[in-house]
Amino acid sequence: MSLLNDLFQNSIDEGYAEAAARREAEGKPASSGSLPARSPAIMIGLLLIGLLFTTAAMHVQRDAGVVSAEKTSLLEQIDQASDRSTTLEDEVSELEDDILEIETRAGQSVVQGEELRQLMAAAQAVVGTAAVSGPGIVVTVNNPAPGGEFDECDPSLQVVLDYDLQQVLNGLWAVGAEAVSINDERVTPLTAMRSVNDVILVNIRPIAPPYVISAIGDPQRLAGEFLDGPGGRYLQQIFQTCGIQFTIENRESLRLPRGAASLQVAEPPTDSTEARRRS
Amino acid sequence: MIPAIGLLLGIAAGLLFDVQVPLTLQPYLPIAVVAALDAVFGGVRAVMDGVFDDKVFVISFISNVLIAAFIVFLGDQLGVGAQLSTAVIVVLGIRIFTNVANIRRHVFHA
Repeated sequence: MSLLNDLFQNSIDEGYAEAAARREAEGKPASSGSLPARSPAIMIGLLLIGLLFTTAAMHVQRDAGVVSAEKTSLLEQIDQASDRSTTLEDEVSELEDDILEIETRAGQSVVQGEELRQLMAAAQAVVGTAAVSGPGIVVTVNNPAPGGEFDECDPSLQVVLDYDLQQVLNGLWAVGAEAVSINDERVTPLTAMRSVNDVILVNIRPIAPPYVISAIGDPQRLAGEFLDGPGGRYLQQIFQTCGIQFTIENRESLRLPRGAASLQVAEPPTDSTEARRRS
Repeated sequence: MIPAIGLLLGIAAGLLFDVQVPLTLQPYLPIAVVAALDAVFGGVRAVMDGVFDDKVFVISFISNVLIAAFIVFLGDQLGVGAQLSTAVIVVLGIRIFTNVANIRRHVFHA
């Protein structure tokens, strides 16, 4: 505290008091203030003070200029950055819109693709290039049991002919069969059924009796109407005349293999509008 | 009259020559200004007290400025420049306040 007290009490330079005492001892006035005008010392001192203050003031001003220039440039940078940020935000929102649009389109195409797949699967099932399963009936046709006497029947007709199987097939289609196979040979639109040297060929593959004809469709309708339909009547007729055996069974679950139905020469229309017009 | 001319000459010189303070001396400029202010108010108070002496005034002014700047420079070298600046400002500030209060008492008798 003594330091501070000292500071407060002797706030004026002690040199002044000493100089005054010296002057008084010489009989002059205590202050030299009466003749400051002729003092070069005070002029130099005041010149220095003026110079110092002015320099400091100008320095501060220049610094302020530099600082404010820096500030201005920073403000410009901030403006630019915020402009850029606004632009980028706009871009982001535009891109988000694009993404949404693309996603919607992709979703639509997924839906369309799904529809197309279902259509394709249905078409393949109908044509026979895909395996199908479902309830149906199995018609088994076999050659006559040995020992039977059928005088009215030509001996060449006492075996199952391709014609007989064609009648059965037609009968099945007529009463609503949706997919048919003979001895695990799927019947497709390109299937031919013919005999060569007493052997029946289906899809150009020989098949042997008994001929197991599997048909998928409404089992009750198939079973009920087939027997009364053209196929059933034909089977009954050849059973009576020539002894051709046949059985009809209901099946809750049938599985038909896929058949080959690839086009070699014919070309589907490539133009989709044409295809739609034809269909 | 001559002191006033001296002051004006100093200000004019400062304005005209646009004195560039070297970068190393720039931190000491504010301290020098405060020290100069202390000397000025001390001188004014001496005039009021009737003990003014021109030589004492000029020498105290120059030595105040130099010593204040030197102390801060020393502080900078020792790594306590900011604290020593504060110390110098506090001491000089107290002196300026006391002197100005004294001058005020002389002028306004209050």
